[in-house]
Amino acid sequence: MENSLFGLTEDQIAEFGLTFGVGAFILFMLFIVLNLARESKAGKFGTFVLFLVLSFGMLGFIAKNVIQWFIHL
Amino acid sequence: MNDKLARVSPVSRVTLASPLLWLIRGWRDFVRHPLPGLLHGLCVTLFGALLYAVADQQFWLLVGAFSGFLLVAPVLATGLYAVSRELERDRLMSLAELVALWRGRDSRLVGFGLLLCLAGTAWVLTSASLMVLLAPAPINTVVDFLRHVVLSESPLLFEFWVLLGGLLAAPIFASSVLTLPMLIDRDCLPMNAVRASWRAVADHPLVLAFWASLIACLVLVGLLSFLLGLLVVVPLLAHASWHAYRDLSASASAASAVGGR
Repeated sequence: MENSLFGLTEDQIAEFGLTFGVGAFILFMLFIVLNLARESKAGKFGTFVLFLVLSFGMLGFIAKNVIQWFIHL
Repeated sequence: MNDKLARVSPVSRVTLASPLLWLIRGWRDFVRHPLPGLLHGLCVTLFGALLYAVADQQFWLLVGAFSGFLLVAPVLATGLYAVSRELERDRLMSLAELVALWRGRDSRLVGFGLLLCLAGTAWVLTSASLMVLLAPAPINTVVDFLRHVVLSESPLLFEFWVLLGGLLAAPIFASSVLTLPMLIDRDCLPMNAVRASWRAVADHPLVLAFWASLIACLVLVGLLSFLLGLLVVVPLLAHASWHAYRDLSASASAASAVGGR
């Protein structure tokens, strides 16, 4: 019999954790970059570049997963 | 008195929620007068399909053509900024007026478009060099790119490529986010419009980074939907860019009025 906790299977818990875990991690990264920009006195344009690059990186990560999922369908 | 002012003048406060508001207002403009937007979207989609048909087997040529095309797309969308401006005046712009706008061949827009093309070329050359250095196999077709870069076993190659794209996009975005609507709206020199654009980015770095990411996200959806999404994405972003210009320039005027006191 498949292990379950509160009616959820291991796979479901892992998927839930991964989805929300990665989301929370991305928010944490944004927070770190904001602090980094402040502390390093990157200036306003520096802050813009840092956030833009980070956002593009995250977008790339999401796009890669979507493309992989689409190809494996 | 303040209440009265708030009612009379449009929103001049720019917050992190503003990009979403610009999209909503852009969507309203599109729905209110859809024909010019759909025609622009159709032209972009057909041109994209033509590029793909011609350069399918020459991947870097295809990427170069697409990147250059997407960089120049804001110039191609100038007609839609004018449509949004007329909608603010409760007036529907006719297709004849749009054609007349294009026939005007504003040398400022042509010059700025050429500069964007040059920037696009530099962008593609840099990404191509990165891929030649890091990709495990030669990339000649879209399938090669998907196999060796997107599905690559070597970790983070694709993400690194996109990060580099972000780094190169930052100055181009900062130079053009306000420039084109401003050139349509005012009789000013391109250099002054570019300066205003950089000032807006320096005044609202987080908001404009969010706006750039939303644009990238929507364009990506348009491209991944076999270009069909561009039919709607192009006019939506063009109308929304007009509203971004309106809010950001209103915010800059308010700030300079406060500073001047």
